[in-house]
Amino acid sequence: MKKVELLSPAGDLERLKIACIYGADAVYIGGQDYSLRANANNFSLDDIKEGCRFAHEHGKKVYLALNIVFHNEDIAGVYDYIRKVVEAKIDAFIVSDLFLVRYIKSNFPVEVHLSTQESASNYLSVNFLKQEKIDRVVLAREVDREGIKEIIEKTGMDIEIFIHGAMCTFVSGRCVLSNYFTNRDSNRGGCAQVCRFCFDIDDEEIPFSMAVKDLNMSSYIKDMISIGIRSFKIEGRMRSPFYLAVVLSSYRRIIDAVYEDKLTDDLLKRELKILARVSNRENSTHFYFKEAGLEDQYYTGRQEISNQDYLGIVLEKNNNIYTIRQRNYFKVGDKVEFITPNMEIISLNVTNLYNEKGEEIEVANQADSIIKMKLDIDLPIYSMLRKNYLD
Amino acid sequence: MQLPKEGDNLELIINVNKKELDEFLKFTNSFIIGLENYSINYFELSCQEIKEILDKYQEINLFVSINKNIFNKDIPDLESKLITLSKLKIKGILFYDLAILEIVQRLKLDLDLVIHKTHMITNYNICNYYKDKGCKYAYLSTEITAMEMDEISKKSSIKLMAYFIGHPIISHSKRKLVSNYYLYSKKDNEDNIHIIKEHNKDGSKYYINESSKGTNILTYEILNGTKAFVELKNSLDYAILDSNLIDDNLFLEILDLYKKNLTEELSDNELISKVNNLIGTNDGFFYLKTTYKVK
Repeated sequence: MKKVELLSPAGDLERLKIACIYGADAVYIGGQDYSLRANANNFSLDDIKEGCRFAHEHGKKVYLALNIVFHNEDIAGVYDYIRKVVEAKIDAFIVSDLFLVRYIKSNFPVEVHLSTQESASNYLSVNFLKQEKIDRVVLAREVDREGIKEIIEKTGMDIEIFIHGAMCTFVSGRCVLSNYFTNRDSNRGGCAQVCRFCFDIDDEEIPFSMAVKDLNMSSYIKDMISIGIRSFKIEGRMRSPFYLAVVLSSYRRIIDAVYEDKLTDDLLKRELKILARVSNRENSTHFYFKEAGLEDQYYTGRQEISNQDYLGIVLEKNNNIYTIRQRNYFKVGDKVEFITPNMEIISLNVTNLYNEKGEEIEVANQADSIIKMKLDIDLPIYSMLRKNYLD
Repeated sequence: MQLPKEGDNLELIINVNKKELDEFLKFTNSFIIGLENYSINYFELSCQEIKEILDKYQEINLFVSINKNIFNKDIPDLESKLITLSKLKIKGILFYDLAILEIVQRLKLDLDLVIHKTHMITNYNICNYYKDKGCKYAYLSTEITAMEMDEISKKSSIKLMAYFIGHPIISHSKRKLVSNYYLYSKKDNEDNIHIIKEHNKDGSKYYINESSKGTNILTYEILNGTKAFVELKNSLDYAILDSNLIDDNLFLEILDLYKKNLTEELSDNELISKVNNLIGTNDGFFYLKTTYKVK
């Protein structure tokens, strides 16, 4: 049985590498034009080339989002751009404007995936897309479990579903709030997330909110595999490397446990705790089991809680001296844990800290500064250091 | 702007909010209505009611908008409705979901198709794509400029519709956002339509309404695309004037001015000036390019 794909976002080259080594089977990225996250760091052509090289070396795939809704002025340069990206060895394009499908499929031997922006939500539209030679469809977020299952059964299409991260309040492609409120074009990558603003409605005293909770399908991965979904997509090209590492490794452990028939309630409980900790919003399953309702959204404006769990990332290793880019405050004596690309979680007490010059320090308190730790354990590069909250 | 194509004349098409069309007939004979359970932000009628309209007004061109997202469970009924509509003398179907294109072609239904993917018909290539797929018309997005519309008309051969007067929809959710709010607030939701604006700010207001299909947000100010209409009237095939949420008399007054302009009883400048006086100068994105990179 072909294993389901775990698909990660990557906002830049570092995140792509982290995604690849933390359990993603494939990553989706945006170029410097034509993708729906115009304000992420995004990838130059050289970055795409290097990203594809790195990913392929690790047996992973790279998909490029080309999913803006094109205006006339965007068209002229896109054909040359597609050719260059194909030369960089991209595995698939994610598109929403259908005129591109015909061009790509008749000129290049790469896959084309249909973006959720097109909001495909039924088997007839997926059949139409299959005739257009589209290789994969990212279904609308509003399709429920039975709908997904029936689409797969009736079309045989390779189906990709969002399983984790932020959700749009509105149907993808059917929202231009951002255009009207901020003049930023939501369908060309400028979405200002107006749905997360707070509003007044009529003369009511209680503010009106449209903001929705995040999606978290971690408890239902086994079921989602059983209905034939081919790819599980994590949302968030703007998310931090730490977030990606934690979320991906958690889902990797769950997926692997399903296939190895080792999924237990205890494992799920632990992963839920990890995922809840890295998220800054509450979560729900939204439309998967029923119409999204009262409990799937917020009513009093933004409710986001950040924590300072992420302490740093291992950049280099020289014998038993580790160079770490620090993120949040910690000190000698703290109980911390490393999460590693091997899916291990290693707990320890901080017994020493050094600054970049090698001078002993008691606290690490400057975000993005370089620190060093002497450790008698073997950690791969890109291991992440975080507060210990599992013990 | 380009010269009129031979044999082509721009027609006004009214998005109506009632079954009685008599008062509109001296201005145009082209109309759009919605289909019960299948339309978003249109006045919805059953197939029987549509038949009654066509029986009563035999000379009209009636387009039916089926613009909701289609789900599997909708398909059997939708097929049946499309078959029924194909037997009536409607002018065409405005559609959002590709399922409709698939059904019409598979069943070889005698229906002209208008691609109506609200915010996504924004370039000439997508218009040409849908023409190749059998669509006769494309309904242009309200978020592109007049210049972009003109370029589309030059570089595509599909017949074009554009929206010039009304309260355009700017977002649609399957969620019941208004009902949820009133449930949460433990208050009765007594109105079909509400007004929202950003909390504690003096920004623009927007309409928000809800139906069985979800929640819609519309502009509060009336879009006045009259200047663009004047510039584009030789480039387009249909100019849409939407009566939804506009006072009946005001709407008729606007229609009268547009009609007089098309019959050359009113100059372009007079039309612009008179409509501006009636509804203000909110010209949306006709002359405003959106941005998307802020870094």
